Amino acid sequence: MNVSYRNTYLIDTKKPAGGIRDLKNAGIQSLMLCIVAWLWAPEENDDREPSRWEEKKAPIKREEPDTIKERYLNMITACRTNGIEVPVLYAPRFSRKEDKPWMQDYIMEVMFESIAFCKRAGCKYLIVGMPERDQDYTGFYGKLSVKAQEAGIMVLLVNQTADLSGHLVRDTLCEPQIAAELIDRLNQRAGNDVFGFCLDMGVCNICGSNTQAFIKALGSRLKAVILRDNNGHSNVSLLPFTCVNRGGIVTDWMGLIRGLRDIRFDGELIVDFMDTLAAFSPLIRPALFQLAREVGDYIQWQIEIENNLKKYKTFVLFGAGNMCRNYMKCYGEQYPPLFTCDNNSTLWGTTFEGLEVKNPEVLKELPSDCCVVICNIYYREIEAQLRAMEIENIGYFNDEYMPSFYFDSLENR
Amino acid sequence: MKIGVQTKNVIEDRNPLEGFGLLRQAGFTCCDFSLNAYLLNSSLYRSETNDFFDQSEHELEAFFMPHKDAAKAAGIRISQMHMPYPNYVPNGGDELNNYLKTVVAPKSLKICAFMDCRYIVIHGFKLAHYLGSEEAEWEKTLEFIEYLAPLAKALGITLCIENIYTGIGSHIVEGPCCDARKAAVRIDAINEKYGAEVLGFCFDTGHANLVGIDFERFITALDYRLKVLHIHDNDGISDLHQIPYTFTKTRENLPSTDWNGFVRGLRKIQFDGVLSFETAPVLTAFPESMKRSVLAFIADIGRSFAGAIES
Repeated sequence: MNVSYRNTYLIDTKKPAGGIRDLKNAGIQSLMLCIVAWLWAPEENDDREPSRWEEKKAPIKREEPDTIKERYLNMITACRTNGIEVPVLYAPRFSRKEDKPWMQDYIMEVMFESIAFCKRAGCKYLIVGMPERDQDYTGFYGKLSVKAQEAGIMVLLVNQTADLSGHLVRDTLCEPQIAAELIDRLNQRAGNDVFGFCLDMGVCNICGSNTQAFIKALGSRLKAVILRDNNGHSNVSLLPFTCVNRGGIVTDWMGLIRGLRDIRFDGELIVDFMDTLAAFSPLIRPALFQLAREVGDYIQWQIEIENNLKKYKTFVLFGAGNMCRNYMKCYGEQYPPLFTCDNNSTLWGTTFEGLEVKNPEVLKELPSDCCVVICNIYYREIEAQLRAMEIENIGYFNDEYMPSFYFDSLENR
Repeated sequence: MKIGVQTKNVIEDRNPLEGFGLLRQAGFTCCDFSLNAYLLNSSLYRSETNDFFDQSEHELEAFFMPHKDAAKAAGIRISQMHMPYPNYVPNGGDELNNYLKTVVAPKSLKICAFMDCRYIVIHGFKLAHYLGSEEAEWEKTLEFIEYLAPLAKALGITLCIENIYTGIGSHIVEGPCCDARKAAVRIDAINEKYGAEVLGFCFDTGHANLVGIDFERFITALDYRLKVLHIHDNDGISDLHQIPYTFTKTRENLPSTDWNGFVRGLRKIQFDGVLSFETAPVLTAFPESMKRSVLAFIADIGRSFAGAIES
């Protein structure tokens, strides 16, 4: 699994050096490049632009397809030189509220140019959204098949919202079975795996989708996931975990993580937090880069939590409370610890969830290849305690996104 | 097509004839009997219950006899009713959940049959958080349905699962039975197993709007399995149970709920059930003196839907 970050506001396409330095300082090594084609207005051609254009009655600006890539070549070259990968491109998405006869051909030209640029930039995947109002999914994507095969890239279909008089609702590809069937049909016609799927978590959130079920239905067709947060109603891209209400998250990160574990996802995670970045002054944006990188790493760690357990040859747990109970419920049988320990001396010598509870002092006697996995929310305190005991082989467990939960907690029993 | 509405906020136990008469005058010929008003969800979520369903079947029949007689006298058919919900409280304990399953649910079916009502709406269990998946959640709902299926068959009643929502923080998201394709397969399997139409579907327009579901596609996927409706509107954010066509979001002032898709879907499957409105909160929002006018307006919208569907 690889974690990438959307380029918008992270890096200036004309003067990329400063952005690249900040990215490297934050430990970000991979980007998704969002290509913008100036069709409506000289900004992002997102859902907001057409209405602005319509209001102003401005003439349609139309950028010639073969010039679009020129704006990005400098940035791509600089990224490569500095060891920053660009595995994913997002092709321009067009709103077609005002349909013009030339638009269909223009859009296809831009898509072909995007495919060519994708190859030139060494990208693996090109995310292509359906133009708004166009309903011929098989026809639209089918036209990309030959060019994509020639370029050796995979085209990723993506779930998007549709605009119902201002209410953002599900488009056709928000129906996972329909998306899966379409991909299979397109690949069958192409005679090769040319098409896959990119799940946009922001869209899932707006549509209140059952993310876990969505992911399971897609299975191995899912190649990339865009991680972005919003309030469930506005199509914005906020840093994951930042959209909250009264201290609680409003986004189905649980379903996302469970689903990606279910299908053993090993593709691209793409953190898109461009609206959070836009709200911050450029003076303090680099501090956000670091946080975003940690958020991306954390989500990856949660998805791969079982793989981490597999790595331990032998291990013990530290903690004999709810988290330990949850561990034993979901993983205890497959990945049994030798024992657990706890700072609560009244528990020493007792058995908890089938594990003997010991005094942490016994950890000093463990062989160095036996990991002590902290299974308690006081991570930093326990880590400091272990380091003071000169224990270096330390691991972490977390039960926020468990495969299942008890109906009660120890306190409520 | 017949037009119906919830009895909540209209029918009062002390004089049901007055309420049923009002419904008839407003232009309804059917109603959705709010059995859930006798054991409130707000109480159940606090693990509180009352003794209403402790009454014997005979006592319950005696209690509802005036309602049955009044409906008949007013020319209103009780075309559907709502079982008290939730049918399972995750932290409610065995005693409460067994009571809901073995007492409230069977007695609800018997009341339904007593009222000559063919359809009773139930809610799927909201357990995916605990059990880990929608499939595991459905297995628990299925146990509940299978417990009731023999009785439903004997009484000639169809249990109707409904597309409902759940919450993440304050954000409403898809809950049980929001996948029409899955629902269709599951309904067919159960009905085949029991050799009777013991399970059907209740499409709730408001719940569908909250999670941006494509009405036409959903209804079409359900097809003949769609038995009853909960018609109401909202802003796409909260479950407000308001009058259709109430909400707009742009200066063009077009409806932000897919009523055209609703009509197309019902027309496509040749729906011949009752256009039933679940709009009880509207009646508390308007002044009491306007109740008759408001009900008549709702019935008018029903007739408009009927005309469009049948055209």
